Amino acid sequence: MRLIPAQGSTDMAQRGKTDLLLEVKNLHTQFKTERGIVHAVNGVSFSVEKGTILGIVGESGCGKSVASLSILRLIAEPPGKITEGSILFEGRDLLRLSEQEIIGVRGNEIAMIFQEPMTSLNPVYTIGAQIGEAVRIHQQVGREAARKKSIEMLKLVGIPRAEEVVDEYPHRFSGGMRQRVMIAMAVSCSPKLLIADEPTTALDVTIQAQILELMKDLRDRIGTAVMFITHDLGVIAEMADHVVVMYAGRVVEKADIHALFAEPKHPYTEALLHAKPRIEEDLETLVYIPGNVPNPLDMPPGCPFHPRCSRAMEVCTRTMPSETISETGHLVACWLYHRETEFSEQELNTAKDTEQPYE
Amino acid sequence: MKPSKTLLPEKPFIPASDAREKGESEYRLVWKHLRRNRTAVLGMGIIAVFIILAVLAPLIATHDPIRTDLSRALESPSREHFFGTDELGRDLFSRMLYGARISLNIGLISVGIGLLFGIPLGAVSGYYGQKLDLFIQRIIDIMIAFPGILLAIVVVTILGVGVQNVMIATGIASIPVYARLVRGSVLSIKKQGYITAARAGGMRDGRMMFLHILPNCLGPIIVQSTFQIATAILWAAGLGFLGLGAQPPAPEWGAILSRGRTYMRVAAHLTTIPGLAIFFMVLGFNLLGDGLRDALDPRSRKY
Repeated sequence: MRLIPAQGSTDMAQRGKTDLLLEVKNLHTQFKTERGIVHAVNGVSFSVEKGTILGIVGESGCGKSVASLSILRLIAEPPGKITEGSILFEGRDLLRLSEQEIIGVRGNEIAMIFQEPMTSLNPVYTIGAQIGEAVRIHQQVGREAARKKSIEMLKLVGIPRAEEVVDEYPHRFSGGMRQRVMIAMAVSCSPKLLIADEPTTALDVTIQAQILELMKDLRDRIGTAVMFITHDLGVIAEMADHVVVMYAGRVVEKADIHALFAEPKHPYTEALLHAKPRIEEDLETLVYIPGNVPNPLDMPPGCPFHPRCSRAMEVCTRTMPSETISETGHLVACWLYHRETEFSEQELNTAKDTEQPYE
Repeated sequence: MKPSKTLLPEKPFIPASDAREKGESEYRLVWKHLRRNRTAVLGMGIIAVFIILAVLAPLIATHDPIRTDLSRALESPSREHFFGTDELGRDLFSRMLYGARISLNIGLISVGIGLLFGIPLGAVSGYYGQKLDLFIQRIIDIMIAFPGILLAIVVVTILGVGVQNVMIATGIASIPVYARLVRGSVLSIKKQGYITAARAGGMRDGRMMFLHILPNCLGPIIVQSTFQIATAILWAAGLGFLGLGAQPPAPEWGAILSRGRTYMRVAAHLTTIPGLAIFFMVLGFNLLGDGLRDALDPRSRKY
């Protein structure tokens, strides 16, 4: 992943620009509500390289889904609106495409799967008709060819009796099978990017593992890059090459998967990792992050995480920290990494005083 | 004492999704449930009898429905005239048979008109929302402000009397019913996951509306249609009764009823028989509609 275009790490520089598939820059998406404007996504930047898996993590309501829907311009307008930023997909700005052009991208070059497999299939059409429809729309093939393709896709995602299943209705399928069908539909046009919005959240753990395995397998076989949205760090560890941690509509940390788990920098990431129970440890109570995600209508000033942050400093309550990048391309938006320049010795000391472990 | 049979379920409860046999489509399932519903079967039977009588009217009719014979006016039912004769000596049985044709036609055609205009209006209104919705719904509001029969009377007054105009009038009067119904269904279906998924898959608006959303609204539309056919028949009979519908000598049930009113004391059959016929036809469609509503709603299906 390329973190900041102008200052990419040496590793990034070697790979060059051609590897970038999707580049989201300074994305702002807001919703008008009766009680004011909600800034659901607030200046988010990230990128996906060809054939890699980018994980986006965060609590509910942190803007993960809105960010992903914004990429395909699926935000209902009004009340939603993408007010700023650019989304470059192979050099084209998706935000500047005409309605016709973006329809051609949806499902064809960028496909999406959703959290709820139970409601994501139209109950009145057969499985084959639904997979075939996408193929027929985007690849201008006939009914017979589309049907063949549907069977092929069903086999690809590991559905037994594909020739029979193709003529069956969705109600006969379990959640895991439906998610497989959704994946089959999503990859039927060989998209370059697959956006998976919590695809395993509604599934039980064994099925979840199968679906994750399937997605990785597909990535290897057809080379589709995946943007994987989840709140489950375990799933991220399993899947992603790079991770973006979001909080309250902002990116707070971006790193390589190993760097993030080995050395989380942002206190939020640290707290998230800490809140994950480990099988070796015998805990009386689960660790949690005190407080809630702030109400988007009533964002705290400064860093949005400071009311819940155990290492909050005075400066955090006033100003949002800018992003800093380490040599290895590990990006973080936290005042703790601005020590040298940004604030006084005294503030540093107060920071040390309030610093506590999470237990 | 033997345990009461009703206390023990005869079959174990099977969830709806597993109860169907292999390869059974939604519509076959609905049909299965409809057949088990006695009142719905009764309704279908009534409708079937009326349809058969209407279709075969020329074969069954014992007399020409409009030939008068003043020497035999106002006769009571007899072997020669099963339902008696009217004030001009016309055979009521034959007139009723031909009247069934008119009533069924009015029911079907007016519902057809309602569907033809009501569905697209409602679908567009619900799907696009915003200002278009506001505009269409205000027009519908104006139409709904008049009771259906009154709206039909207004239309007939403008177009002139006659069976055809009655069909158009009752059709127009049922447009707002469908427009509202479809709009509501579209609004709820629009929020379903599979519609977002279809949008993410690159479907265009037209395709989405007519191929993905509308088929999911069919249940309520079918049910409403059976009720609406009954209502249209009633409206048509009402218009006929008021002299705004079919003109003499056309044997429309409402008109027969209306003219028979004058002779109610001497020839009660002239009002009783068309009244009963209207009652049964409406009952038939309402029973079928009730049954369909239950059969189409998975939650109310009984096993």
